Amino acid sequence: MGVSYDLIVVGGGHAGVEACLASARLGLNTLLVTTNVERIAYMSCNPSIGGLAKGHMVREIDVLGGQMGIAADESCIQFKRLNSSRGPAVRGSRAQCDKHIYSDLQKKVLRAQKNLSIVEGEVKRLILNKNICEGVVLQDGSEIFSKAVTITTGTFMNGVMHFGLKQISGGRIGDKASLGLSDQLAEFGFEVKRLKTGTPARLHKDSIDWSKTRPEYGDDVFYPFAHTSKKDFYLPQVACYLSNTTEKTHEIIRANLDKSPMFCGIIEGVGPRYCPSIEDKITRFSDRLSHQTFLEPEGLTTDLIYLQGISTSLPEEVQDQFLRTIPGLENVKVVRYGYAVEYDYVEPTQIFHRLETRPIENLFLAGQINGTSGYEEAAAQGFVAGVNAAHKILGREEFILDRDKAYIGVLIDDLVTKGTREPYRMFTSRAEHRLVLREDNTIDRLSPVSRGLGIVPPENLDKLETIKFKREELLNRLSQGVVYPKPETNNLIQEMGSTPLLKPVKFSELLRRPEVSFDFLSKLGFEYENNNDVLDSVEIEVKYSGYIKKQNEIIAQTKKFEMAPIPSGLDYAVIKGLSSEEIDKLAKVRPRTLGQAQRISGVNPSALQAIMIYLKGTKQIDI
Amino acid sequence: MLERNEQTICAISTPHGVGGIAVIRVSGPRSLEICKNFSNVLKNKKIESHRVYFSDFLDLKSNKVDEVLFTFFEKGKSFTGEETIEISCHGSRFVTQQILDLLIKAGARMADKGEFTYRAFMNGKLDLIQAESVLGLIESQNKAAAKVALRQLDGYVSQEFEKNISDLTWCLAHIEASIDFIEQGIEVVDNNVLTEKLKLILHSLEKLIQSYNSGRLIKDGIRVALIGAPNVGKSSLLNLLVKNEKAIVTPVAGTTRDVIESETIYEGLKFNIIDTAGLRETQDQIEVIGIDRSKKEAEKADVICIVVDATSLVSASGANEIKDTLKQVPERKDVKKILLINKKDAITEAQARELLKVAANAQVNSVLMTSSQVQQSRAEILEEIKKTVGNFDYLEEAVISTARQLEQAEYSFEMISKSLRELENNMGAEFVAMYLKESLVSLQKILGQVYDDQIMDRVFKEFCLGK
Repeated sequence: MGVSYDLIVVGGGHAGVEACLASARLGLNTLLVTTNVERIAYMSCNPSIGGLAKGHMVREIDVLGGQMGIAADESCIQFKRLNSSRGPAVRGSRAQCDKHIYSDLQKKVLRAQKNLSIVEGEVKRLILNKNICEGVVLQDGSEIFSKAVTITTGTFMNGVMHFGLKQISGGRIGDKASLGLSDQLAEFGFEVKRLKTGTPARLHKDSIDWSKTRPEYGDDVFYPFAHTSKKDFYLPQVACYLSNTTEKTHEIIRANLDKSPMFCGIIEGVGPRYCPSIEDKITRFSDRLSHQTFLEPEGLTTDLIYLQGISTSLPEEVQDQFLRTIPGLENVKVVRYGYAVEYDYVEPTQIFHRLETRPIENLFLAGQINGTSGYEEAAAQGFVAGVNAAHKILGREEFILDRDKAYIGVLIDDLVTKGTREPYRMFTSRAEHRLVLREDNTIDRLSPVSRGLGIVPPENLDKLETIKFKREELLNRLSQGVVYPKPETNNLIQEMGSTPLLKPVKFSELLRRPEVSFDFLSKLGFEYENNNDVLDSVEIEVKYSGYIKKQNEIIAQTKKFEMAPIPSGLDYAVIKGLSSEEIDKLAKVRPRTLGQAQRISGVNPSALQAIMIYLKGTKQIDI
Repeated sequence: MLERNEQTICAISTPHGVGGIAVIRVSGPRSLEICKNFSNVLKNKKIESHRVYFSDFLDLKSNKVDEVLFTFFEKGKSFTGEETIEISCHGSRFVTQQILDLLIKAGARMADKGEFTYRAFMNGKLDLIQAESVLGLIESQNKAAAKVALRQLDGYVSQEFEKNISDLTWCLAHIEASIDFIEQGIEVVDNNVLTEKLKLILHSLEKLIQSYNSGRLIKDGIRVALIGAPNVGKSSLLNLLVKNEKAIVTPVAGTTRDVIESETIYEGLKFNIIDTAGLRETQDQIEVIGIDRSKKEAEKADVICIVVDATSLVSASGANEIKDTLKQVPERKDVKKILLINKKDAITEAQARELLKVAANAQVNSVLMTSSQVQQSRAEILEEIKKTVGNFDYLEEAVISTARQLEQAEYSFEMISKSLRELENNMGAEFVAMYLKESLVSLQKILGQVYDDQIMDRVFKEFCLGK
């Protein structure tokens, strides 16, 4: 018998990093196996972290004890709060990062982490004892044993890169594909399918005529992702530059569509609809004469510019041709051409909420292998898979976040109940609890959960909970304190441009008025500590309380049904009124509650009625 | 023991009571197998779907019970979506009961209330509106009601809701995109476009909501109360309207002491005409109770016809007399009032013109000069009622006919109105989206596209056995 670990994490991307850190921090002897140690936590595509719904998840990971937020804060070279003109629930933070600094920071953390070893190598096979995973076999035939394995191989499983009609095996430029693993999974009976994704060209910054582009600057105010970060920028902030495709660009692309692997049927994998290649955009939105693109520096010291929104798999000579029709790129020098990657993923309905696979025990999957797209989606799953693998080994309860607690909960519930046919990206619209899943209240939602997990040091949690308690205390005082319609009070209210009071009101009622701020309340004698961490969130909570109440009512109405448990061994085949397709899907997904059953695509409302009647008839449910 | 839903069910599907023939419906996976026990024809022949087989119905000792027709529908091609056999037998209660007993002995069970339609819904043969329309069709007592139900069964109303669902989904998708794709530089839908589109949905829902009133009147009939002082000719009018000597007519004031109700059909619509005791101060105990009841009837009516006597108006001061009568009519906002000036044949044309002028000031929806002595008055009065009470042009459009559909449509309407207000006040798109999602869900509930336990119970408990 060779060396042995508690947990082996296969793959050092954003999912792998969180998985092995979580496990090591929970005290388990953890090994990270990666094909390229240099490329740990590498940003293979866009050089940014966060965005709408994604930024929410980064904050959630942070409060629970993950690493992504810290690295993003410390490598941030442009910060933006998206949708800042809209309501607070749909504001999202995005940091453009220096991708080398980001990766270096993560590597440093991994190397310093107790209980964690890193080895460079390619995993060819899992060691299976019947349906129990007991370790991995490396390329050189060496065996490493473990109590559990988490696979986070991203786009590397049977990865094929497409440059026009030319194909090269690989998961990313400069990195080999990992072959063998997905064949073993498929042999074991897993449903393994293909997805594709693409990346744009990287340009040399000195070959760009910047005068023909428009600079776009970030925000002046920094809202760091991590609760431990400073409130000031760590690095100098840079601009991005805006340009756009022209009719000429579109002409060239149209004339060369037969050389695009997407369009002549070479790529079978389904691509992300919301992050389409430029070929896709031009074909699908044929009436549009121009598409915008951001030229984003990949870092402070690098010469590489990322061309956001122009991902392509056209041949190199065609890329050269059409890029030069974009204002500013007339003489552009391409350092690395855009390409598409096709890769294997495992239909995620085959995993439990704890991210352990149903067919193979002690095997966990996280990240793109589950059909998602994006660093943040990967990191979130990596964290959950790492914690659950550790919990399983330690004999602790499984770690599952509810849909009303976190975007991470929505992400995983969607994946394991609905499955996915295209790369899954998180959106705010996927969360029915959107108004309560805000960036500003991440602490309130998750700090108690975090304390239970025990990864974040207690002194940090104490600080977080102090903020939480202060918010609660302030909310209480606002809803207890009364303002009386005295003439001097009403004078002040009118001066400020609001309507005078007719009867005594609570301070919270007054604050609900859009034009009233905390600043004004202080003039009326309301005392509070000037701490934005406390004030911002409380003000939102008060101002939008009507909507939040309405949303909670809507949710409460469905809660009984949502939470109604379905016995785990239920034989769907005996339930009358289910189609064979529905029986298949339900048997595969094995929903735990009627709510989950309802979300499974292809399961009709009448099927739920049938299940309900069956459960009631056999007295297996009480609702 | 099989699950309830897997069992084969049977029931008499024709009206209860004695008829020339009766139809017994058998539905479920064992329909044919069960029926084969009782028929040599079914046992020995190759049975095809949608074919009728003439056969003796034999009991288990091969004694003949009846001569029947078996109609076979294979699984997927029947009303319920299950294997079904309809047995047309003779309508004797004894025969039908014997056949049912035998079917049950052979393994079928009696169908629950509404179970056939329920199964049709469960097997995806009907949406919820269509399921409800089956009930409407069964219960329809007139041509208009049947037509409304049939149009629902055809999916006409469902289509109207489907269209709104699809338009609403478009709006919601665009709002969500405007939130989630802020980074992509995608052109976001203009608020004006959105507002216009939502207003169109709102308009369609409004029409559907309004159609409920007509739908209800079509289904239940229009309740018309005849109210007025004694001896103005209410009972004569009743007899004219229902074309029958239903009420006793005498020249003595106070002849009608109780409420008399009778129905009549006019142009496919059902009218329930209620004659009431004349309203007056009286010492007569029985008459007092009658007058009380009259007022209560008036309160339940869709239309109150206030009947006044043209001859007495001419002699007295007409305006006051009308006012006094109106005062006695119970106040209710949604009730329509028609002033019927009776006995127009007994006054001159000049007097009639004068009376109409006076009546023009009365607080009623319309005024009609009439006479129970003239045959064509019936059509004139019923036409006037029809015109006043609702818009029956809806017959050609989508009509919703159950309180359940109305409730959901109204909620959906309210939610869209709220979302429009949010749009107008430039509130966040996520709030607009919240209301629109609620609206969408309630429209989907109407069609049964989302699961709702209470709705299901409500829909199916209204069904009668065997339908």
